[in-house]
Amino acid sequence: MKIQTKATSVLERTSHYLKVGVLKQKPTWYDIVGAYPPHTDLTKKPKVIEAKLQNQDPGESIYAHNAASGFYKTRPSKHDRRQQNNAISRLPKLEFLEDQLRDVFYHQHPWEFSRPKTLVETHGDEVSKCDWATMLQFNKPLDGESVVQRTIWLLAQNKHQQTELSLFEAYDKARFEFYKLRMEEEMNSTVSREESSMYGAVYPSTNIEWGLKQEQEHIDVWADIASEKTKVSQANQGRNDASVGEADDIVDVQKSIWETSFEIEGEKEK
Amino acid sequence: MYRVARTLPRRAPTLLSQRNVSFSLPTISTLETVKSTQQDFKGLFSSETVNELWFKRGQQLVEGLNQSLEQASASSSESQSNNLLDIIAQTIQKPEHYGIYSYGSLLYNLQFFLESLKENSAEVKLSQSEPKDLLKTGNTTFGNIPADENLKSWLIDSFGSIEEFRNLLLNSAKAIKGDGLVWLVAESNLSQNILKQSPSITEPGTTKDPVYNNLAIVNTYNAGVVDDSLRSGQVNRLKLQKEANLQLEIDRLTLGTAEEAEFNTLYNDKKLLPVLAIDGSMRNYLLDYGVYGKQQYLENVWECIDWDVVSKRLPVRTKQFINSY
Repeated sequence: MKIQTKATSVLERTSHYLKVGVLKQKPTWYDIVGAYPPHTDLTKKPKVIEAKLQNQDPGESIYAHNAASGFYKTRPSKHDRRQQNNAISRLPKLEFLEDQLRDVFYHQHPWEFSRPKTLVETHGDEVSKCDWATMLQFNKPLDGESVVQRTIWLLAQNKHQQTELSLFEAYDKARFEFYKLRMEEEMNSTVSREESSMYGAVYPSTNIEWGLKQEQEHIDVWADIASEKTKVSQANQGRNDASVGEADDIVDVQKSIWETSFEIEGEKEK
Repeated sequence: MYRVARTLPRRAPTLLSQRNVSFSLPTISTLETVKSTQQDFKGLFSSETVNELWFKRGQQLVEGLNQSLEQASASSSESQSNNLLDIIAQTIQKPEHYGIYSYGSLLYNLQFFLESLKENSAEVKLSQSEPKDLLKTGNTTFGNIPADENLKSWLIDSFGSIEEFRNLLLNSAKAIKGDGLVWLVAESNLSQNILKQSPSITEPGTTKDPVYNNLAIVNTYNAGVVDDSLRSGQVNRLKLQKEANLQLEIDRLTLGTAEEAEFNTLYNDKKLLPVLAIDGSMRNYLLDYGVYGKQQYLENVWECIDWDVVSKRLPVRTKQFINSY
């Protein structure tokens, strides 16, 4: 059956199927589409074909009569078979000023990457709540993105007020604001810690110690598994070295190298 | 803090042991003129705030101090000095004199802070802050740079630049959540071994005057005092108490904590001399600047710092002749 491209003919065709008995039941959309039939064909067609500038089947033009030579082409050449218009199927490269700024900022401040970051957003429009007239935001922690957005805002503001401010100046301005706020943040946490220790808080371990402890729990589990696996692999190596087909091999598998060498010495004594 | 005196056990004062001298509110000339003319403290406080901060609160502290001194003198026969600093030094380690200590140091801190302020000549309008002021990045342009070359060069040597010093000072003050002050102190670094070995300086302990070669910034909270020789090892002492209670076993192989190291080495021969205090407590900015106005308040305080007073308080500077690194 020919592929049906016309959306408008769907009702006509379905009613035909119903009459013939291809379809046993009326589809749920049938009555509604009958009452409000589609009046536009939504199939996308290339403009060149719609304007009749090109045949729908490009093969027709390849095999057309060549007036100059008087011959017909009967077989497509390698050139004809090649995909002609690659650019149309290639994804365009999107370039934004923001990306360049991000690139510069994170190259200059690689440790900013090490700060934890939440990627989860409730509605995905958190950015729209931000007003970059100030760098600090209620909805967003201070990070490299703040510098980028603030730079863009400063540039836009600058354009609006028609003052002289280059991209670098705007970026530097945002960057120094960022430094100032980071310093404030750092002092804030230091003082908080000091203040609460003066009020009687005791910190039994540092953050690093705590982190190591958490890590160690997993390492302990892993160490057990690893020692088992090491034993097995060592035993396997032992079996490969040994001569093939001896019944003792299977016993050797369960022993470590130390046990094996010990046994050999014992045998010698015998 | 005010409630302390009431919770202390009251004993009937006997006439024989009654203390003769009592404290009265010190006079600070700038604040007296504000009170008499009923005008604002230009660039920082309204006249009502000055009244609340100094004349009312100061009076309360003085009364509290006198009251707790009276009670203490009734119960003990210690020799009593009339110098506020001596009283603080005598009572800081004694829990039974907690009232005297805290009233004394609160009064001292408040006076120290207010004495280092002068009115700002530039026109500044005091206004209540809005929530969005919380998000503002602090001002980078500022005035009131110390004119005294000695002080200025000492600040620059210790902190890098006046701007860095200002950032650190104001950030430390801004970070205080409860009551507290940030202090600029002159620090004597006698604990450096190289200095100890140098024959030109006598051993600490046998000392001549401490040698001040560095300026630093220190925070104190509630009724805290700057002097490290007094307050040293507070955290460590608290810890030892807890450990005694819990009877924890201490692993001998582990390194000591930072507090222990501090207790053992740092404060033995170190002295901090306060030269400037800025109060970061809420009561200072709530009336004039509102809940969100701390940044604005602190920036205004900077413009009002009287550097002449600070210079007068500075000890003689000893340039560090040996670079320790």
